[in-house]
Amino acid sequence: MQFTCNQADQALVVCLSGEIIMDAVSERKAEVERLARAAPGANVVVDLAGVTFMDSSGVGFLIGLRRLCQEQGKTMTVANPSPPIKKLLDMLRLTDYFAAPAPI
Amino acid sequence: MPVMRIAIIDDSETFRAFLFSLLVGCGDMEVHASAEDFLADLDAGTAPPDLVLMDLIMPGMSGLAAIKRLKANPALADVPVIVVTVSDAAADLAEAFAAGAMDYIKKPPCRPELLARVDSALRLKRAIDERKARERELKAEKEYIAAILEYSHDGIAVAGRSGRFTFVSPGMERIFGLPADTYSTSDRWLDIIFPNEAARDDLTDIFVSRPAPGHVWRRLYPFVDKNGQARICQIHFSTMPSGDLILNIQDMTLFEKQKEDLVKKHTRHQKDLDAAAEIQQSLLPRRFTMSDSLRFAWEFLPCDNIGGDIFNVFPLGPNHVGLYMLDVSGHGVASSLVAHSVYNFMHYQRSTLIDRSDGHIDVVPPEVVLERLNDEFPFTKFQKFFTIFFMTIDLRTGYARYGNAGHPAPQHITAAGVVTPLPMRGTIIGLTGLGPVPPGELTLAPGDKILSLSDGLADSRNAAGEYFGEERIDAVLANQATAPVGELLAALRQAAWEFCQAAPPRDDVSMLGVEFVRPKG
Repeated sequence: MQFTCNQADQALVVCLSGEIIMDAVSERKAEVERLARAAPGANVVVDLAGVTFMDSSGVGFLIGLRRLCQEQGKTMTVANPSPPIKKLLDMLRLTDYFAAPAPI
Repeated sequence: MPVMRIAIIDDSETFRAFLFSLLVGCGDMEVHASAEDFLADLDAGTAPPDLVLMDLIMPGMSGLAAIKRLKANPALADVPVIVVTVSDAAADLAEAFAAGAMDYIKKPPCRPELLARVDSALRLKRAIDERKARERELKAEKEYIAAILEYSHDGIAVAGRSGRFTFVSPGMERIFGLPADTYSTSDRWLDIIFPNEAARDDLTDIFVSRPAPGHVWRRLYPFVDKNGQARICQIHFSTMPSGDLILNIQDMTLFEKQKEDLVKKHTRHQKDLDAAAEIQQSLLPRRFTMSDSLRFAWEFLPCDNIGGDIFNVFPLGPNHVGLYMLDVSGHGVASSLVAHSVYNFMHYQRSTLIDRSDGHIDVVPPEVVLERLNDEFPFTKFQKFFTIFFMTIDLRTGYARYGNAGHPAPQHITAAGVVTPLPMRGTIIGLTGLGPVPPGELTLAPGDKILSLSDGLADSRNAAGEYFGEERIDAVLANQATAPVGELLAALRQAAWEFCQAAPPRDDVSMLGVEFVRPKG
């Protein structure tokens, strides 16, 4: 799992790539969470375009990240999942959970 | 090439101007009317010239005295001096040469001769300058290397063919705690430092045989420091083209200790994992036919690190059977502990699954059970979620109810071999507020099967990195749809086993199948 970050207008965009599996998560979790916490904007977007595989630890990582953002008063959404990742999120019925919130 | 500087010292202004005019183009020139004037400038810190043309007979200090002064100063002794004089008396010249002059020119000089002599003197000076610069560089380099050896933490020693050390760096003293002169030969060194016989024999052997130049041998040796403490060093041996043996020595005591501790810790963790895996397996249902109405079978391929899969089939009151399969996110001890905790919660005698009130024994609908699990295991509690498929079957009628929280859809396989995934699914357990799991129901006809698989099977990968995938699962199902449930699972297991070439899967692979044989009579 690799990741890059860039701060766009209102959102911190975290681009993940590779396999999001248990070992990768335990290595990178703290760093991504620190960045999400420090992000000045109100939105965090996790771009999954480059992710080829994600196991349940990876899903747990995204859930944890979403909760963290929520606690900080930020929104967290997932963008561009590749077909297998989209299928996984669908199977777990998490597609809506990670989708963009309705505008207020 | 730097411009050379020529000093002309003569008391005659006319002659100074004459020399100056002859030498134009040979270098930068400075003129002095007396030796005192010239020496005073040098004393004041003016950079010395590259060549001195010195008149011998001058009022005040003579040229000869000035030459002696120059040559007596080590910083100026290299500056060549050409004596320019009217006298060609042998005694005078001998005296000038004895004082350090390198050449002489008779007054009045003829231009070609003057230029030739000046040129050769300057060339000599240049050669001297270059040699001195090289010497300075070499000295600095030598000092630099000495400093590296001095401050390097490693010990470096060189042993000649005779076994005598030709070089021992200060690092050796730091590592072994003994002054280098305690041992002058490799034999002495081995005797003093290495009481371990095997280590000593091995080292002796290397000193005798020596690695071929270009090859490096590296080994660890136990040794004893000056306080009698057992320590460990690593020695790299390499041979110079001359045949001298170089030893690079590092103290590895701390590193080796840390490594040992790590191995101990790892062994302990591995034992824990093995024990947890055993417990996980002991909780799996025993293989037996529960009644004439229902058959079941299962396969379990544990991952090499303990996983979070657990499943069970059990009687639920007098007329029902319950079955579930759950997969806690992640793997490792934490996931397995959560799985055990859910296992306990799902124990069939608990009120979670059966409501006993007013003398009735009611089987709690699966979606309600999943709701209770959701209350009991929020994500925030363990930073874990899980997926679960739970089904109850009324053995009298084949009426089955189920709830599926994010688990891969189980397959309903009819006696005729038609495979249909069970459609109703909700989200994972652990996230509240996402709505209840929708209730599902169907009625099993005799010969119908229900097959539930954890995602570990589809996600299994072979050495080439390919996923087992749902296509392979579907292919086996299509092939074995009418086979008894035990054979169907055995075929899936076999396919997974062959695909992974017997390597343990990355995540637990669980398969559970039930077959409704006939209504309970």
